[in-house]
Amino acid sequence: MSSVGTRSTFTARGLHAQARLLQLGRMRWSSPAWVVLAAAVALSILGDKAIATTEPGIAARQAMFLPIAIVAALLVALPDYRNARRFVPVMAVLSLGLLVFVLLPFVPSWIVRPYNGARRWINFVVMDFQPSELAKVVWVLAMALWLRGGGATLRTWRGFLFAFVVTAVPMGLILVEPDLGTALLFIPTLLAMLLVAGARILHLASFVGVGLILVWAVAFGPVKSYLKPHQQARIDALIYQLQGDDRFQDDIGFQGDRAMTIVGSGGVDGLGAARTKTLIRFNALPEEHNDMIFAVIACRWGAYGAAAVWGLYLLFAAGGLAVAALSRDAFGRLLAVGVVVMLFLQMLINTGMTIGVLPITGMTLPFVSSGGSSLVMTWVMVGLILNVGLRRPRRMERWETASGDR
Amino acid sequence: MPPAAVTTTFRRRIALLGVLAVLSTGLLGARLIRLTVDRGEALRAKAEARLVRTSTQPTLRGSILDRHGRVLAAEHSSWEFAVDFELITGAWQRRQALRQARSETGRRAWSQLGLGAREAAILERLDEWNTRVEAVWLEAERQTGLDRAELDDDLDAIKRGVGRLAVRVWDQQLSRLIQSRGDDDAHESFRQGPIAEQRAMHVLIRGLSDTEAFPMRKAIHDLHAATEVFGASSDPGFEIRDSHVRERAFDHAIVHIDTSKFPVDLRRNGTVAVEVDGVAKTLIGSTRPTVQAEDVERRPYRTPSGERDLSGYRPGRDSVGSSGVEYAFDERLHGTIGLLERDLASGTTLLAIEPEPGRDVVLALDVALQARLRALLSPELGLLRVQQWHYGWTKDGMPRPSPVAMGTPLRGAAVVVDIETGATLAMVSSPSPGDVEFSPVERALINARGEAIQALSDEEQTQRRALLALAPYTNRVVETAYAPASIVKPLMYVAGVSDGVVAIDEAIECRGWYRCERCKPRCWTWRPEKKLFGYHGALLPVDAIRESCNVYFYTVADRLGVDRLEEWYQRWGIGDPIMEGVARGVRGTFIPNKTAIGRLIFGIGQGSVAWTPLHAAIAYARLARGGNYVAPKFLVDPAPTSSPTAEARTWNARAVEGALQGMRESAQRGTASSIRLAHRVKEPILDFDSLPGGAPTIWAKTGTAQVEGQPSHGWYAGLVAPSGSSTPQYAFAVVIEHGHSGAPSAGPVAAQLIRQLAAEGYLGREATAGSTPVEWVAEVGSP
Repeated sequence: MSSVGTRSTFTARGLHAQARLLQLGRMRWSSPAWVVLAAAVALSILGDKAIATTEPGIAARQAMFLPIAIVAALLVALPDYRNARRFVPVMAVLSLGLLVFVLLPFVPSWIVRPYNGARRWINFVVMDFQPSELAKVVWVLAMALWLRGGGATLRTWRGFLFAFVVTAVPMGLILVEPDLGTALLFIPTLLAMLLVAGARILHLASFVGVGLILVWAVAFGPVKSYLKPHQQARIDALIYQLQGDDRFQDDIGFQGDRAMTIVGSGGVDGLGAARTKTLIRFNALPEEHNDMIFAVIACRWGAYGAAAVWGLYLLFAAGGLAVAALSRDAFGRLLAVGVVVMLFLQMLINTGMTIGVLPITGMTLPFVSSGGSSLVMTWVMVGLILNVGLRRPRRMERWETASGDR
Repeated sequence: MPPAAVTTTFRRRIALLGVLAVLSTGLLGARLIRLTVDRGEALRAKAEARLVRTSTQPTLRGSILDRHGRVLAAEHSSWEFAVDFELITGAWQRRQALRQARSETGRRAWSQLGLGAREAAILERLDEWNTRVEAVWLEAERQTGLDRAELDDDLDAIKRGVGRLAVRVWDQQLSRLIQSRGDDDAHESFRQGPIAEQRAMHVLIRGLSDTEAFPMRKAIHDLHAATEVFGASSDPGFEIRDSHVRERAFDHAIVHIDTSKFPVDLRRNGTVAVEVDGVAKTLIGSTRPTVQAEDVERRPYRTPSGERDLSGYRPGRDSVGSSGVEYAFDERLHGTIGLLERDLASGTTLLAIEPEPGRDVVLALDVALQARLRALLSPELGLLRVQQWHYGWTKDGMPRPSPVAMGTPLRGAAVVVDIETGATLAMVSSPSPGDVEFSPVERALINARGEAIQALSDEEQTQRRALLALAPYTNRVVETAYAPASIVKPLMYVAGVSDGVVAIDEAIECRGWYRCERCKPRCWTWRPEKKLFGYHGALLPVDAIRESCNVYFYTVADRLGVDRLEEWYQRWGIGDPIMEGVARGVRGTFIPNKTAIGRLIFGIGQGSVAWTPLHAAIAYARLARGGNYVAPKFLVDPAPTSSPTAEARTWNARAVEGALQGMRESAQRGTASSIRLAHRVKEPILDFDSLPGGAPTIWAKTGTAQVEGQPSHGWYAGLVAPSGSSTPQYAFAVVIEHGHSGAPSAGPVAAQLIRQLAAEGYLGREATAGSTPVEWVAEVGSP
C-alpha cells in the first residue's frame, strides 16, 4: 500500500495489482446476497419449527446451533474471499485426508463411528462431523479456483473431461463410505460450474446425453440385470411407486411410501402440529426430523408449506445467481454458482425423494433438516455467497478472462 | 472491463441455470399437487387407518352331533407351548448373553473391546441364560409331565427337520439364481440366509389346559423380564399361545358282534369284539389349522368391495373345514370372529364386536349303528372276504372256480334309511381309512401321475389298479354308482302297472329267453353254456319278483319304452341332487339306449344305468311309502333345503302292494331267502327266530350286477319292520363289489345289518335284549 504515490517503475500489470489491493476489504452493502441470507434464515427457522413438531429436544439443539452457524457464516463472509485462494490447496489436501481417514480400517470405532454400515462420521465429542460436508465446500472452492480462468482450455474435450477426472477423486472417496447421495451432487454441480465457466454447450449436452442413456440403461436397459438384487428391487420399487402401485410399501418401498402418504395427508392447508405428530408416529415415518423433514412440513402446513420451502429455495437460488451475475471476479462467480447449485440440487433430491419421484438416498434438506455439522457447513456456504456478494466489484481485466492470473 | 460478449454469455448461462431451477421446482410442484390435491384424501385415509389398531378375537367352531346328541367333533379352546428355533440351537441364549455383556460393559467400552475379550464376556454370561431357560423347561416338565428324554428327541427332530428343509430351500434358491445369473456368478453371490422356519416358533405341546399353561406362562414371563433388562423389547424364546383344538369323540369303538347266526363257516364261539377306528370319519371329514389361498378365495375376509366379512378367512392360522361335513358346513360351523378397533392416538375404542361361536350341525346319523355296521364290514369277521359259497359248487360237489383267492378281502357298502323321515341312519363303506395302511411304495404308486405311470412295469400297473380300487377315502354309499340289477324289479313292476302297460295280475310266460329284433336275452335260469335250460313258465307278478324272473321284466321294459323307463328311473331318484351335507356324492346315471337289447335290459337294472346304494335305499323307502316323496336327509339341523321333485304320475297302490308282496315272498322263500353252502346245503339268510321280541318283518330283493371281465357286484336291498308290524320302517341296501352273486355275498351282511338295527333298538325295545352296547374308546375328549 505504501508504494502508491511513490515514484518507481510503473507497469500496467503492477498498477492493476495495486488497484486491486486498494479494493480489498471494501464492502458493497447493497447486494442480492442479503436475499440469500434472508432465505437461509427463513429456511432455518422453518426447519427448526418443523423439527419441533416431532422432536422438540432436537429442535432446541438445532436452535442452539443456528446462531453458531450464522456466526460461522459471518466469519466466512468477512475476510475477502479472494484471499482464500492461497489456502485452497491446503484445504483440499486436508479435506481429502479426512475423507481417506474415515475409510481407514484400523481407525477405532469410537473415532469413526460406523452407522448402518457407512463410515461417514468422525466423533468430535460434542458433535459428529462429516468430512464429506467439508469436502463439498472445499471442492467448490477448488473447482472455482481452477475453472476461473480456464475458458480456452475448457472448450476442448481434454480440458472439459479433466474437470471430471479431478472431481472423481473426492467423489470416489465419498462413494466408498458409502454416501451415494452426497456423491451424486458433484457431477451436476460441476456441469453447472462448467456451463458458467464457459465450456462448450456441445460438450455439456453430449455429457448430459450420455448420462441420460446410462440412467436409462441402469433403470430399464441391459445394465439392470448386472445390478445386485436389492439394487434392482429398489429401482422396481421406485417405478411401481411412481405408477401408484404400493406392492412394496411394507418392504423396500417402506420409507418412500410412508413419506408420500404423510405428504399427501397434509392436503393443501396442512393438519397442524398435533395431528401431524400423531400421523407421523403411528405411520412410523423414519428419519422424520432429518431426511424426511419435508414430509413433516408438507403435512403440518400442507401444500402451502411445501411451496414456501421451494419458494425460499428459489429466492435463495435467485439471490445466489444474482450475486454471481453481479460479480466481476470469475472466482467469485464460479464460487457463488457452485454453492447455489450444490445446495439447490440437494433440495431437489431431498424433496424429490420425499414426494416419490426419486429413490431414497439418505440426503438431508439443507438449512431445514436437523444436524449440527450439516447446518454449520451449509451456513459456511452461505457465508461464501455473502462474501462474494458483499465485495465491491472491481474491474475485470482482459488478461484475467483470457489466460488467468495464476 | 471484461469483453461484453463474455459477460453476455455468462449472464445468459446464469439465466439458463435460473430457468432450470424454476422448471425443476415446477415439476416437483406438479407432483406435489397430485399428491395433496388429487390423492390427498386417499392418502390421509391411508395414514389415518394406521392410527387404528384392529385386533381380532377368535371364534369357536361349532360342534357336529349325531341324531342322539352325541358330540362327534367339537373345538376346545386350549393353549400350546412353542419354542423359538434359535433357542433350540442355543443361538437365542448366546444373543441374550451378548446383550447382557454389552449392556453391562457400556456401549462405548464394548466398542473398544477386541474379539477375544467380547467372546469371553459372552461366555461368562451364557451359563446364566442356560439356567434361566432350564427353569422354563423344568416348569414345563412339572406341569405337563413332559419326559426329558422325549423332549430332547422332539427338539432333535425339529432341528433335523428344519435343517433338511433349509437345505432344500437353499438348493431351490441357488437353482433359481443360476437360471437368472449363470453358474459362476450365482455361486459367488449366493448366501445361505436363514429360512422362515429357522426364525419361527415351533409347537412342542398342544392342548394345554389353563391350569397347566398359566404357571408355564409365569416362568416364560420371568425369562422375558430378564431379557428386557438388557434392552430386548421383543425377543421371546418361548410362547404359550392360544390355540383351538378340534377334538373327535365317538370315533373309536369296540363292537361286540354275535357270530352265532353268521353263515356256518364263519361262526365262532359266541361274540367277537371288533375294534373300529374313524367310525364316521369320511362323513364328518376333517379340519386343517392353516388357511390356504383357496379358502380366502372361497370366503374372503375382505369382500371384493372392500367390506369386512367376519366369517371369512384371512391368511394365517384358523380352523378350516377341508372335507366331509366340516367342509360342506364350514360357513355355519366356523362362526364369526370378534373385532376390536382402537384409536391408538386417543386410546378410545372405535368398534367392538363380540365373537360369535359357530352353530352346531346335527346329523341324521346314528353313530352307534354306524360303528356296528363298520364292524360288520370289517374283513376280520369274514363277511367281506371271498367265500366259496359266493361261487357255489357244481352238482358233483366240486367248488366252482373263482378268479380271486378264497379269503381275499372284498369291498362294499351298506346304508340304512328311516322310511318316514328319509333320515340316513348309517352309511358305511369298506375299506375305510382306518382299515388300510399303505406302505411308502404303495403310496408312491397311488400318487404316480402322468409320465410316472407310463414308466411303471406291468406288475406295478396291476398293483396300482388294485390299490386305486381299494379307495379307502371313497364313501361308496354315495360316491360309487353300480348297475341296479334285479333289485329294480319290484319298482319296474310298479312302473309297468302305473303306466298301464302291464295288468295288475298279468301272467307272463318265461321260456328261458325273450325274443326281440335281432336279440334273444335270457333269463338267469337259461344258461346254454352250462347246459342249463331252466325256465319259469307262466308267472304272476308276485312270483316273478320272488323268483327274480328276467323275462317278465324284459317284457315290462319292452312295453314301457326307453322314454318312460327314463322317467321312472328319475322318479326313483337316480338324478336327484346329492343330499345336502354329503361331500362328493354322485348322482346316478341313465343313458337312454334306443336299441332293443338296451331297452330290455333296463328292465332288469342292467345296461347304461347306475345308482349308488343310497339311491337304492331311497327308492325302496319311496316304494314303502306308496310312492310318496320324502327328501332324504343327512342332517337334522340345519334342515335340508331341497324340495320334493314334482310327481307327474301316481304310483298304483295295488301294484305297490304286489311289489311288496313279491319282496316279502322273496325274503321268505325266494332268491333273497337262502344261500347254498357246501354239498348244496341250504341255509336261510334271514333267520331271526331267536331274536328277542320275535322275528322282524322283512321285504327283500337281491341283485347281481354284471361287470365285464370281472365277478359281478352283489346287491341285497329291502325293507324291515319290527316283529308283528306290516308297515316297513327302515329301508336298507347292501352292495358287495365283485361279490359274484347278490344273495350269497350281500345277503349275510344284510341279515347282520338287521340284527344290528335290532341291537340299537330300532326294531323295538325287546329286540335289544342280550346285545352288548357299543363300547367307545377314548371318549374322554367328548365334551
